[in-house]
Amino acid sequence: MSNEERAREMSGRNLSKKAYGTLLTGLILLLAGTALFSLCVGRYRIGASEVVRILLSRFMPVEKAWEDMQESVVFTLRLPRIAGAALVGGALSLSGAAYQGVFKNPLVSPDLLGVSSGACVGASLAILMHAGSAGIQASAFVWGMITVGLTVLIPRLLKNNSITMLVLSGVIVSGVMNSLMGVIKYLADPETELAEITYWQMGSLAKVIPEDLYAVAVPILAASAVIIAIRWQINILSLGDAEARTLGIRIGMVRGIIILCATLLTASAVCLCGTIGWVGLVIPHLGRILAGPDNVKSIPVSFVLGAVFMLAIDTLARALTSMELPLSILTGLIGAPFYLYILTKQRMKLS
Amino acid sequence: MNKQKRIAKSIVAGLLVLMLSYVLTGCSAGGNGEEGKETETKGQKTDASNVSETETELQTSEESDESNTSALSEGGTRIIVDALGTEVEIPERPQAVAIVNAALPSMVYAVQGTGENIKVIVPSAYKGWENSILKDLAPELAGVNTEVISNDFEVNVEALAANKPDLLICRENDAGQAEQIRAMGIPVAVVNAAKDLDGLKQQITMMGEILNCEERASCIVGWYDKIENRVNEKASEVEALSESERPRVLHIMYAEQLKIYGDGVDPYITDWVGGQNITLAGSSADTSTPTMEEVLVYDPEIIFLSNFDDVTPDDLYNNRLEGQDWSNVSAVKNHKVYKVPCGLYRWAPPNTLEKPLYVLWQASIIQPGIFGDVDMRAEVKSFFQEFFDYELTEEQIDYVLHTDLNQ
Repeated sequence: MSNEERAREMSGRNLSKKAYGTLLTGLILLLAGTALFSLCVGRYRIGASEVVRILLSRFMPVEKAWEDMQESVVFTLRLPRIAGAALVGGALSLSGAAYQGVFKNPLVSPDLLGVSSGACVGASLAILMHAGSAGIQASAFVWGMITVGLTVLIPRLLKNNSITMLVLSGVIVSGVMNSLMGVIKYLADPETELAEITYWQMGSLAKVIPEDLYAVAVPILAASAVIIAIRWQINILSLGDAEARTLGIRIGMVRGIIILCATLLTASAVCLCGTIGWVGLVIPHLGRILAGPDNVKSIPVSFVLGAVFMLAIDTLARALTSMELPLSILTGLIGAPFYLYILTKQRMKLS
Repeated sequence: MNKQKRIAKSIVAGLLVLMLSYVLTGCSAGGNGEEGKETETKGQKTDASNVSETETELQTSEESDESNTSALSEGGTRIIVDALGTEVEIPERPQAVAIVNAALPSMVYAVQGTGENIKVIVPSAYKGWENSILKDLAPELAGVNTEVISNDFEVNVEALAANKPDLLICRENDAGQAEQIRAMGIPVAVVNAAKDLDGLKQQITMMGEILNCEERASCIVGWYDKIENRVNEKASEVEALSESERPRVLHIMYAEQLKIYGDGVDPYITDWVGGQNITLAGSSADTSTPTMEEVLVYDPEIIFLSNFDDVTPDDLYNNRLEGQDWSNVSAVKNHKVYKVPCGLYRWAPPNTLEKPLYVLWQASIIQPGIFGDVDMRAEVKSFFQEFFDYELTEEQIDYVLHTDLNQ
């Protein structure tokens, strides 16, 4: 029996392979459907059939019966945003699921560990120094790693590895990072840099252009691939260090790789659209409700679910009003009550 | 562009007496390739400064403008190089202009002499229009769209596209979305952000190029030069002032937050006409927020209140602002708090077209001994008369100068 199979066997209630296949296919179809719907709505009126024909025109000869502007709206505005929203949602949700698995703690997420605010501090510092988009991305990642390092360090220093301690430590570190954000905003030039930093802090996909998208798609897809490839080892980690060691897993390395990838995911998401709360906390829980506690199944499910959720939120943000709502407002308004619902449903024991 | 500016300047210097006729013939030539012809007309007009004659001329020039519009709107485009050095292809006569700034719509109006083609502006510009004399001059802005660009100058590009603009104008520090908007096939022309009068002249000249009203723009620049010269004539007297003769001035943008103009055009003008400015450590931005204590240490002798909020000199005299104590400030004790006028637009923000009027107004308050001869009522009246052929009533002049608030 391979390690992978044993790990799966140990992780409690399980979905049959067939049911899991149906679930994942269903979710991917849902994602495609949401994307298509999202392509059709917006402040610029374009009929659904028009959108489909504009899309098809790239692959086969279709008689052109639409305005140039409509084509621009579909290809330059909506498509990059939809791709961006799906990527960001998937990335945040996956990094949340990975953190929750590695830390054996259902309460952690990129926000609660302080990674989001740390990455935001990094990005803002780079904006202050006019570091360009590569600099922003690097700085966001480095600061994300620093914050997650600090958050993990505090419980170790106090020799207290309980769930509560890690959460408390995250509260402390993100508190510090939020204050740093305040300092940075105070130092920023109100005419030129402040608006950009505020935009970053609230989260928005309105300014996504294809070049930005390529720059973050590579790290997001790479880090996601790594996490998905070694997701079965997260199951083993969650059994506890002693068991994992007997199963021949190099705990330190696996844990390190997963934290690194999860942080890279969060930092990349922050680079593209600023900090967006709740997704990384709520969606992995929903994933586990649907697919069971087995990380082998719940992690891919969480990724796709996150993409669907973010895409739906971003479509609301851009189509609801002509002046866009920041994404964090919507994820908070929808995500927080939803989390409450999940908690009551799961009757989660938090100790 | 510099060459054009130099030419415009030399013409203006030579023909100061002929300003009026120059102004009025100006825009009819805008971009029609008739500039050579225009100069000739100008030469012949040496003794034609009769007001009634020039008035009728203005009307005809407007009419010919309209016929030009219909002829040229059939698809001609021009290529200009904007303030960031980008080559932009824009319509010969833009028909639907979107403007990402609060002060620029009034400038677009002034450079064109009409606001017919202004279609999308920011909410704060609309509020400015409602509260200014521009509402009387350009009632056509009543139905303009204010829902697409936020007061932070964020553009909802898709909603913008739905309004089908054929040109978008913004300042260099708000050009972050230019690439995205250009990708939609909407030309974006960027103008500079002015830090002094030269910067403003540059901005107006660029605006003239963008809107195909170069002649009219150079007339306005000529008016800038004229007022600059008037102030500079007194330069020796201003230089002779001792430190104690230069009053300490404070420019307040938002009184309740104590947000001030600490740098940029307004403090530059104050310095120029013989006043002092507050120096704050650190910030190099145009606006900053000092603490009340810093303000008390500085103890301003003259305070200017912008038109971005409704706080009046009376509020300071009666110490009505919460968390602030103005009772012992010299400006309050000496009754020298002023609400800044608001003509086409608020005069205080850095990039407003009427800045030369603001120079004269500041000068007459800061150094009445030197600039006591300035008659603001006449200056305002002639500005509107010259450039818009609009005769302000006495009430309207009071409204512009906030006479009731500044007693």
